[in-house]
Parts: sequence; structure tokens; C-alpha cells
Amino acid sequence: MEIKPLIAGFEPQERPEGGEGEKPAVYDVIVLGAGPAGLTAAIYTGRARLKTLVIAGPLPGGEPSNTDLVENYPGFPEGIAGMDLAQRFQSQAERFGAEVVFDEATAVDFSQQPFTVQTYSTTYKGRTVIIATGAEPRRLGVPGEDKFFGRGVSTCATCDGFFYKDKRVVVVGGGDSAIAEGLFLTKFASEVIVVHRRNQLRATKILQERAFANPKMRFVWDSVVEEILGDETVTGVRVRNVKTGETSVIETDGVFVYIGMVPKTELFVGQLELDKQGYVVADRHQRTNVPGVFVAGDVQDPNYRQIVIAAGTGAVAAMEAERFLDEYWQTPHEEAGPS
Amino acid sequence: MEIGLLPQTSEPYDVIIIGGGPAGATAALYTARAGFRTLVVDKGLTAGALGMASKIVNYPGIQEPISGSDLVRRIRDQAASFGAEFVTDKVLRVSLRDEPKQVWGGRGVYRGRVVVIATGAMGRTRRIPGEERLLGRGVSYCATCDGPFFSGKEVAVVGNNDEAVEEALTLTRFATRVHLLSPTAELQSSPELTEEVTAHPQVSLHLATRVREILGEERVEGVRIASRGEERILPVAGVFVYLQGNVPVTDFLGDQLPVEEGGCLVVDENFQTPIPGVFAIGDVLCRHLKQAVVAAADGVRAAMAIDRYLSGRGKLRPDWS
Amino acid sequence: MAQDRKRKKQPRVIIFTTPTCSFCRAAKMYLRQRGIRFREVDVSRDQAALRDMVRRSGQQGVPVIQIGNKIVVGFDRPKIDRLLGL
Repeated sequence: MEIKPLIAGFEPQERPEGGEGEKPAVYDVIVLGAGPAGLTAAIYTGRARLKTLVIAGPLPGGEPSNTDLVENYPGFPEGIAGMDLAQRFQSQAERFGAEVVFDEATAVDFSQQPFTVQTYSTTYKGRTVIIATGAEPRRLGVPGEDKFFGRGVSTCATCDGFFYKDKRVVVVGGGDSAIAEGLFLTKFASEVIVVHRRNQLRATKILQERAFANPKMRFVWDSVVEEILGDETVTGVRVRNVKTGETSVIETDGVFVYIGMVPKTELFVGQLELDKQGYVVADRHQRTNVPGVFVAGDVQDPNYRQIVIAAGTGAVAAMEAERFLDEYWQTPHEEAGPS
Repeated sequence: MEIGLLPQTSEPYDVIIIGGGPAGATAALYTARAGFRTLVVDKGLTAGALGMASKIVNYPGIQEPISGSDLVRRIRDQAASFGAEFVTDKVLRVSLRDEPKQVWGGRGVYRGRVVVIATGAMGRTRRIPGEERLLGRGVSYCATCDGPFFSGKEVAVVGNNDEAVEEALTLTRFATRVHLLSPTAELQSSPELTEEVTAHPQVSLHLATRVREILGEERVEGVRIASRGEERILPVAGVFVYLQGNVPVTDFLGDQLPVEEGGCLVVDENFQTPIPGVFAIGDVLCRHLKQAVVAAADGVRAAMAIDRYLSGRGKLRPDWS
Repeated sequence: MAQDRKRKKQPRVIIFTTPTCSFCRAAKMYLRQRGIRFREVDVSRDQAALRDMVRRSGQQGVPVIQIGNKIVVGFDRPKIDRLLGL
């Protein structure tokens, strides 16, 4: 697809020297986000001896750190706890020399080189930027949701499941996340009711099998949540059957919402081309419409949202950043050899 | 290692994946987990680019140095834990427009609704002098196919990986002596296979040995080999060649699929080739970044497209409704 | 020691967590990085602490960070900074 460059007539530049061992005035690569995409990019650029900074953002480790058990990241036949996997990604990046700071970007400027990233604490400059800020859970957008958020409404079962020990919870959604996290909740809750707007689940076969076999889980089909009810805390949800139009109230102590993700791209409005849903527009080589700015992971992927795909796109973005630095900055670095 | 005929299941598989490297094994992991009957047909653990690598340090999530073959083995085990089946075999030809599609290996015929080509890019272009001329007249690439023709004779096997060693061991059932000619000073096969072939009384191991020419008029009569600066002629009746190169492996396709310059297969954004139900992933697509994690990501994307294809769903939709 | 005298008097900070909560981990990392002393209460181990937290904060979610007598719900960095004078 055609990407229209924002900066025209880019001239190759002489790369100014930075002090060895000091914090560089200008990084070769700034990575926004410390999920699998960002950290894989940092593994690759770090190993190529490019001065790499990873600004971790509000959730170091990314989505895996919110996931109880990861069974389908290739290389771990026994499965691995999400948090452990996230930690492994981070230490690997640091082992290869990437600097991971626990900070969050508040503004960016991609209109000129080197690029500027402002954070809560300071300002960084980089010759390339790899955006890997991920996505966050989509909300229902129904009355009562905001009022009761944190008081019965949650988007993080691994965070909040414990509060519903021996209580009843509703899970809204029908995909992998809804079902996997619903299964996780059965460890605490007395009952997990899955409310889904279709009459079949979208989740992967093996998760469906486990869910249907679980005595604590039951299913309410063809239904959407219209309102979240309660006084001090949640007491129920009103649902509407999309086929019959009938409404009813399901009593519940908690509601977990797993209906998809929204890309975290507010910072880039006006700086990068975004599509109608807010995803960063990129080509197959992870390039955005600004030369030197690349994107990886869930922030540009509405379709797959798998850890290994995020990691794969991180590797590609890293390679493209190296190539860009070669061509425009004549940056000396080590070639990524086979393997 | 047992040969013999493989049980011919009457039910075709849902998915047959040719090549069990990071791309193929990860695709198998996902399709098996999604409930599809999956078969991976693979030449051997160390036959591919990753399997040959002695040490990997940059596979994301595995920081401790791991050999390529161990990493491949782990991914395969993971796929197998979800029900994927694996068979060690070499694919000789395919029939991709049949329904179900057919895949001929040296050891059996496999039938599937979907075929995934994940054969990588370790193919050869250069031939040993005499190799093409004498192909089928003593030169072969398949021991299970042609071994019986060399009963009571001496043969040479050229190569150093799992595939070469397995084939050499196969040939000991027919040939009186098998000369294993390894271009490297050490075999690159798994420890178990290396031990087995080294101890085998019918195998003569020639390390750091290059084959300069395959000799013979009507049929193979011998090979001219060079080792440590010295050349000599080794009389053999057959030569089985298992060397590697760096081009996509697509010879078994005949001309059923279009190939781009460089020998690369062509796919759309869902990794589907022009033939419906036939997908291709990994290095066989000539991506410029040949990394295990990138190949694995291909496998996942293709698996999700295959899910749609087999479920009859229209557009690719993410897992939320 | 000279450093002790220089240490700012910071409000009392309690963070309520559960072991599988990644935002909790992020919040703790942040507090440590800023040199803030805090007490961690793992509400998964202690039903009484759990009830206490729900009572104090009205929240059924972690992390909850109590700074002095103010409650911060979730890892809300600007609010944490403001309450701690950072």
C-alpha cells in the first residue's frame, strides 16, 4: 500500500558522536511500550548495538502480564505464566543493552529529526521511534459502567478476580479473552455467567470445550448488557435478548468486560496517519507515513493480537529501524546475522 | 528407527503442513489447538535453518542459550501437546488441486483439506558434477524409495544432518556398506542419531570430505572425494545426496504453483497461494528477515486464515464479537 | 546520618495488592523508583484486610493506594504524583 511520507526530501545525515557509557543525548531507537512487541524490537536493536531506550508506559510487560497462563507462545511446551514471560522479555532486552525506563510518554513530535518524546519526567530524543503502545480494553459504554468501575465492574480478571471469592460474576464477551479469563474466574467465583451477543462462541475450540465442561460456568446467548445496576456496589446487569427484544435482570456481584481492545494512539493524533478505529496505518514492513517512525504489536493489529505476532512485528520494525539508520544516518552497527 | 508402511487413515486430515520448522510447527500448534486434525510432514529436526543453528540467543522469551534443534523440538512438543501429529518423511510430490489434496512422501501418501507449505529456504541450486547426468541411474534423493535397488552393494550418502543420517541408516538394510560423506568435520545431527550412525558396523564415516565428482558412464560407478587436501576415488553403486543450499525448497511442487524470481512462492495477505486451501509460510516466501519469531508469526496468521477457510467464515474477524 | 535528616516527611502510603495483578506490580515499581516508602497489603491472603480495604475505599479492585487518608484507585500516576508532591 502507498504510504505518503510526512517529511519530504530527507537528506542523509552525519551521525554525531555520543559519549560511550553515558546516557546519549540522542538515542538511535526509542521504543514506546514494553510489551512483547516493544521488548522484541529492543532485543534486536540492542543486539545490533544501537543505543536503545524503551519507555515502558503504564503497564510494563504489556498484555501478557495481565494473562494468567500462556499456552500458545511457541517455545514453552508446558505453558508459562504471563507475568513470567513478560519478565523474560524484559531481562532479555536489558541483557542486550537496551535501557528500559519506567516512565510514560505524554507528547511526541515527529515533525522533525531527531524525533522528540516528552514524558512525565523528562524529554528524550531519538533518530527512530518504534511505537508499541498496545491496546486497552474496550468498554461497554452503558449506564452504570463508569459509576461502578472498580466497584464491581472490571476489565482485568487477573487483577480483581480475587474479590469475587464465592460470589457470582458475569463475563461479557465470547472470544478467547472472555472465555480464558472466565475460566480463570472459576477459581474464585461460585458462578461465572457468560453473556454473549451471539449464539455461539468465537473462542478457540479447546477453550470452548473447557468452558462447557466447567460446572461453574453458564451461558446466556444472544444477549447484550444494557445497564449495570447497583447501589454501593454492583447488584446486577440488565440484559436484552437481541433476537426477541426481551429484557431481564441477572443478579451478579461483579461484571468483567472482555469485548475487544482499543489501540492506544491518542498521542499520535495529528502526527501519524491513523485509520477510522484509531489504529496506526502501516505497511507490511511496519513503516508508518513518517520515515523513521515504525509501529509494532497490538497498536496496529486489530485482527490477531497474539504474543508471537507482536514479537514478530517487533523484530521486523527493529530491522527496518536499523535499515533506516543505515541509509539516513550512516550509523555503524552490527548486522543481524541468520538466527 | 522403524520403516514399514504408515497406517493409512481413511479420513483425510484437516491440515497437512509440509515442514516442521518454527513456521510449520507454530501453525500446527494453533490449528491443533483450534480442534483441527493436523499432520506435520518433516524431513528431520536438523534439516532446516533453525534446526541447524548451534546457538540461539535472541528468540524472544528464551534468554538462556538454546540450540536451534532444541527450540524446534520445544515448539513441536508444544504442538503435539494439543494433538498435532508428526511424521518424519520427505515430500516428493503433491497434487494440490485434488479434493482432498494429496501429498506423497517416501513413506506414504497423506491427504488433507488444507496444505501448508513451510519448507524453508535451504534448497540447493548447485549440483555436484555428474549428479544431474546420473539422476535415476545411481543418484537418488530418497533412500526409502530407492534403497532396494542397491541390495548387496556399496553406496555413498552425502550430507551431515538428521536427514542424511536417517537415510544412511535406512540404507544399511539394503546396502552392504554405507559411506557417509560429511562436508563438515563433525556431524550436525542430533546426539542420538550421531551415536547410532557412528557405532553402526555397516557405516563408514568420512568427515571433512567433499565430493568433487560423481563418476560413471551408464550408471554410477564411484565418487571422487577430497579430504584434507588428498583426493581419491571411492567405488560405489549409488549416491544419495542430502546437502543444503539457500534457496526456497519448492521442487516437489512441480509447476502447480507460480514461483517468483529467486524461487519464492507468492501469497496474499492471508498467506494463501492462488490455489484455495493451499497456504505458504516462513522462509519459502523469501522474506528478507529470516528469523524464527517472524516465521512463527507467519504460522499463526496462516492458522487463523485456515480456521476461517475450514469453518466457512467470511471475513477475518478478531476474537471479540 | 545526614541522609536521614534530609529525607522528606512523606505521607503514609499503603498499597493493596493481589499476587496476579500486574498494575499492582507497576505501581510498586513506580513508588520504589521514586523512593517512596510504602506498606503492601496482599488482600488475597487476608480476608480481614480485604474487607477493610473494601470498606475504606469502596473498591473491589486492585491496586488501591492509600496516601495519607486519600484513596487512589488503580495506577493513576498523575494523582499519585499530586498527592505525594512529586
